[in-house]
Amino acid sequence: MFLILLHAAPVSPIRFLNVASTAGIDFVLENSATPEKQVIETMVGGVATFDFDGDGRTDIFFSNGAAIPLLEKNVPKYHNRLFRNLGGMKFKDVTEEAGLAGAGYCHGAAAADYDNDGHVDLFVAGVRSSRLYRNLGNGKFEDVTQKAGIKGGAWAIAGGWFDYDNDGLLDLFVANYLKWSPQDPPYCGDRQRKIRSYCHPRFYEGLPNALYHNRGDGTFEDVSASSGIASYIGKAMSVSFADYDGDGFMDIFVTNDKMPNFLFHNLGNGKFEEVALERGVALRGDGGEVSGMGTDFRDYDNDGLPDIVCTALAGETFPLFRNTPKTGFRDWGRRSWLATLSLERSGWSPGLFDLNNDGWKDLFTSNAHVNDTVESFEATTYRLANSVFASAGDGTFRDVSAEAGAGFQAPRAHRGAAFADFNDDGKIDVVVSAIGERAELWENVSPGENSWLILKLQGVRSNRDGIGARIRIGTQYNHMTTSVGYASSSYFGVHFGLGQAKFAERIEIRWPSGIEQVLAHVPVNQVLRVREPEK
Amino acid sequence: MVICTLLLMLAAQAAPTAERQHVERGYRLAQNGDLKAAETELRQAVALEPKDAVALALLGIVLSQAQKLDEANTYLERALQLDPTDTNARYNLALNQFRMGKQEAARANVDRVLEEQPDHKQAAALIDLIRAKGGYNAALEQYRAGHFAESQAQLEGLIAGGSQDPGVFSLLAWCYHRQSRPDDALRAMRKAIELAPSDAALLSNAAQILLENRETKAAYAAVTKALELAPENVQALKIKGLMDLEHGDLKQALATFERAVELDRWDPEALERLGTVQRMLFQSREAAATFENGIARFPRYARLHEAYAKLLLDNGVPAGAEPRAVALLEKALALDASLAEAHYELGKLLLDDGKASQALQHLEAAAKLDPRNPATHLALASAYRLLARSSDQSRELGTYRELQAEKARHED
Repeated sequence: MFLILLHAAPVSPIRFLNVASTAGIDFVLENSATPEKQVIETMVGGVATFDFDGDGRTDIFFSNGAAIPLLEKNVPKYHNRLFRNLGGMKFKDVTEEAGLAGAGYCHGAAAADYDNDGHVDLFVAGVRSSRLYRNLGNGKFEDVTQKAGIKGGAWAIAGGWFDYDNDGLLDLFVANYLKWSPQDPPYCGDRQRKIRSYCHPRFYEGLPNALYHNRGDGTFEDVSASSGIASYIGKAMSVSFADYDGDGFMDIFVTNDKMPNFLFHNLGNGKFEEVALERGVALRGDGGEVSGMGTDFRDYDNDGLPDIVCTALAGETFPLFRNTPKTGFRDWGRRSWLATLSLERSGWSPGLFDLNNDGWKDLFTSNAHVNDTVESFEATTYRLANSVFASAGDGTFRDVSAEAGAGFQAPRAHRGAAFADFNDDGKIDVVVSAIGERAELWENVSPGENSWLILKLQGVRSNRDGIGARIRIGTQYNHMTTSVGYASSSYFGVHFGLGQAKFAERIEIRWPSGIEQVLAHVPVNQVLRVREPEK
Repeated sequence: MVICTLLLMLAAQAAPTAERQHVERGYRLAQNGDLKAAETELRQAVALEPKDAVALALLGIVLSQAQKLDEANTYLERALQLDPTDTNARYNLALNQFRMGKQEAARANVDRVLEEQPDHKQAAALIDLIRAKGGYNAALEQYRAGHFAESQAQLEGLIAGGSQDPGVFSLLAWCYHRQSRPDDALRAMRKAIELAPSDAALLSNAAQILLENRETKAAYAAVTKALELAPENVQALKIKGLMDLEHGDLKQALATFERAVELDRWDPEALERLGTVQRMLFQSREAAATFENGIARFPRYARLHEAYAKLLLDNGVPAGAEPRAVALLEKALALDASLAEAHYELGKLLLDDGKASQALQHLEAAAKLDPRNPATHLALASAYRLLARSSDQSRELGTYRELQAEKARHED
C-alpha cells in the first residue's frame, strides 16, 4: 500500500483482453515440479514472437520443460509449441510440421535471421543442451546446433542476437545461469514446518556467459574467451542490447540473480569490458543486489539515450537505470515512482512499449514470485497478476493495472512474455506463459485514436533484420532489438506511438553499417517496410 | 556469612522477650532464604524495640538481600549509630553502598572495618570489588566516549588484577568488537557467559556480537538460550527479531518485535525495529503509525526520524514524500550527527539531483561513520564519476568490491 496518494496525472487508457482461448492458444507451461524443488523448475517459460513463415503476421513460440531428472520431453505435454498466426487473432498449432517440438528441458527463446536468408531462425536455451533451429523457409526448421558449432553443457536461460562487430552478420550471446545437477539438491526452507522451497542462488555456483561470432557460412566461432565475456562469472537470467554510449557498437546488459548485473561495453575491436559498477547499473541505487530477472534496454524518456529496466522480486523493487547526458546511468526507481509501484511485485518479463500510442513508452511486466512457498515467509504471494505501468510523459509512471480490463487481475505463476502487434491494429499485444495454466494472449483493446507506425527493417550492408538500427521520429527514439523480457524474444519491427499525428514528418534511421537514412512525410498507421540504402 | 556472627550475639543475650523471639525467627527465616517472612518478623522486632542495634542490623541485611537498598541503608546506619563498633554491621553497610553504586562511601566504611579487624576476609574481598568497579566505571566511560582501545586496556588491567566479574569480560568483548577483533570479542564474551551462565543479558550481548560478525548459527543459539532463561527479556527479543529478518522470515520478525513493544512500550529501539519490519512487509500505514507514535513519545530519538524517512522514500510516492523525508533526515542529523544512514540518504538524493559536490559532503561523512557499508562507497564512486575524479572513483569501487567480497565470504 502506498503511503501518499496523489492525484495521478491523466494518462491515455490502456486496456487488455485475454483472448487466448478464442485465439486457439492452448499452451500450458509444464515444469515437472518435484518435491525436491529442483531449481530449474521455477525458471521456465520463455516466449518468442516472430513471423516464421513470412506472411506478415507475427507467430508465437513457447519453450517448455521436460521430465525431471531425465530432462527429456518424453510426453507431448513437454513439447515446445509453435502457433501460426492465421489473422483475425486466430492461431494454429504447427509445432509438428515445423519440427520445433524440441528436446531437453528448455527455458529461453531468441528469434532472428542469423543467415540473412529472409527467414527468421530460432535459438532455444536450455539445461545442458541449447538448440539452434534454422528456418528452411518452407514452414520447417532444421536443428543445426552441431553443424553451427553451438555448444551445450551449461544451463542457459536466455539467448540474444546482435551484431557486435557490425559485419552484417548476427552474433549470438548465451546467458548462462547456474551450475546445476539433479543429484542431491540442497534443502532450503523450514524443516520444522516441513516447507521446502527453491534455494537461493547463493547455494549454487555461477557460470560465465558465452558469445558466438557468426562466420557467415552457417557456423559460429566461440569467442567467449577472446572477447572477454567469459572472464566474468555470473548468474545470468536475461540479456538485452543497445548502444548506450553512441559509439556505433551495441553493448550488452545482463541481469544476474542476486549478484551485480553486467554491462559489457563493446570496445569495437572484438573485445568487451565489463563496466556495470563504474556506469552505475550493477546494483540498485542503494547498492542492493536484486534478483535480476528480465530486462529491456531502450530509451524510455525520449532523451535519445537508451535506459535499462529490470524486474526483481517483492521488496526489491524494479530498478530503472536512467541514462542522461549529464549523469550517465542513475537508478531512477524512486524518481520515476517505479520503485514504489513495484515494491510489492515480483516481476519476470518486462517490456517498454508505447501501449496507448501516446508517444511515451509504458512498461508491462509479467508477474509472479519465484518461490511457490513464499506465503509462509513473506507478505507476498506466489501467483500474481501482471502489471501495466503507464508513462505520465514526465519520466514517471502510474500503475494502471487495476483499470487494464476484466481478467487482468488474475493471479498466475506467470513467467515469460513477448510483445507484438498480432492483429495489425498498431496496438502492442502481449503473450505471457504461466506454469500449469493456459498461456495468456492479451489483445490490446485500448480505446482512443492515437496513431502509430511500425517499421520493419531490411538490412543490406547491415544484418538483414536491422538489429541495432537506431530510429528517431520527432522527439522519440527507439532501436531494433528482439531481446526483450525474461528469456524471451519479441521480433515484429520497431513500434512508435504517435499521438494525434497524421504524418511522421521526419524519420531518421542510423543503420549498424553507419548508413544514415531519412524518410519524410510518412503517413501514420501503417507497417512501413524500410530497406537499407546501398550507401 | 555475617548473619552467623549476629546469631552468636543473640545467643549471648538474656532470656527471650517477644521482641527477641521476632529477631530469632527473623534470623532463621533469613537463613532459610525466606526473605519476605524474615523481613516481617524483623520489622515487628524493630517496632517493639526501635533501639535494638542487632535487630536493626539484621533487618538492614535482609532488606539489602531483597534489593531494597535505600531502606537497608537507613537501618544499617541506625544500627551503627547505636553501636559504632559493630564491624559486621559496617561491613554490610559498605556492601549495600557498593550495590547502590556509592563507591566512595563503601570504600570509607570497608577501610574502617579493615582498620578495626584486619583479618575480615569478606571486607578484603569487597575492597577488591570496589577497586575493580572503579576501574570498570572508568572503562565504561571510555567506551561510551568511543575510546575503545583505552577502555580495553583498563579492563585488561582489571582482569590481570584477578577480576572475575562477568561484566568486565562483557564490556571487554564490546571493546574488541568495536575494534573489529571478532575472535577476541567472542573469546571475552564466552568467558563472561562461563562466569554467569544464567545471565540472559550476557547471552543477548553475545548474540548481538555474533550477529554483527555474521556468525548467525551461533547467534541464534545464544539468543534462543537467552529467551529460554528469560522469555520476556526485551533485549533478547530485539535480537531475535533481527535473526528472524536474517532468516528471511519477515512474519516471525514482526511477531517478535510486536512482543518486544508489548513488553516495553518505552523502548524506542523496539518501536523503530517494529516500524521497519512493517515497512518491509508493505504495511506502510502501520509502519507510519508506529513511527509517528514513536516520534511523539521519543522526539529526540534520532533513529525513529531516520527510519520514518526511509519509509517515505521507499514506500511513498516521491512527489509528496521526498520533501518530508528530507526534513526528517535533517532532523535526525540535528539530533545525532553520527547517523551514517541519514547522511547516506541525503547524499543520494543530492546525487539524483546532479548536485555531486553537495552529495559528497554527506557521503564522505557517512563513509567516515560507517566505513564498512559497501553502499556508501558505491554512492561515493558515483559522486566522483560525476565530478570526473576518476582515481577517487576507482578507489571507492575498489573498497566496495573488497567489502562485498568479504560479505560473500561470510555468506558462504
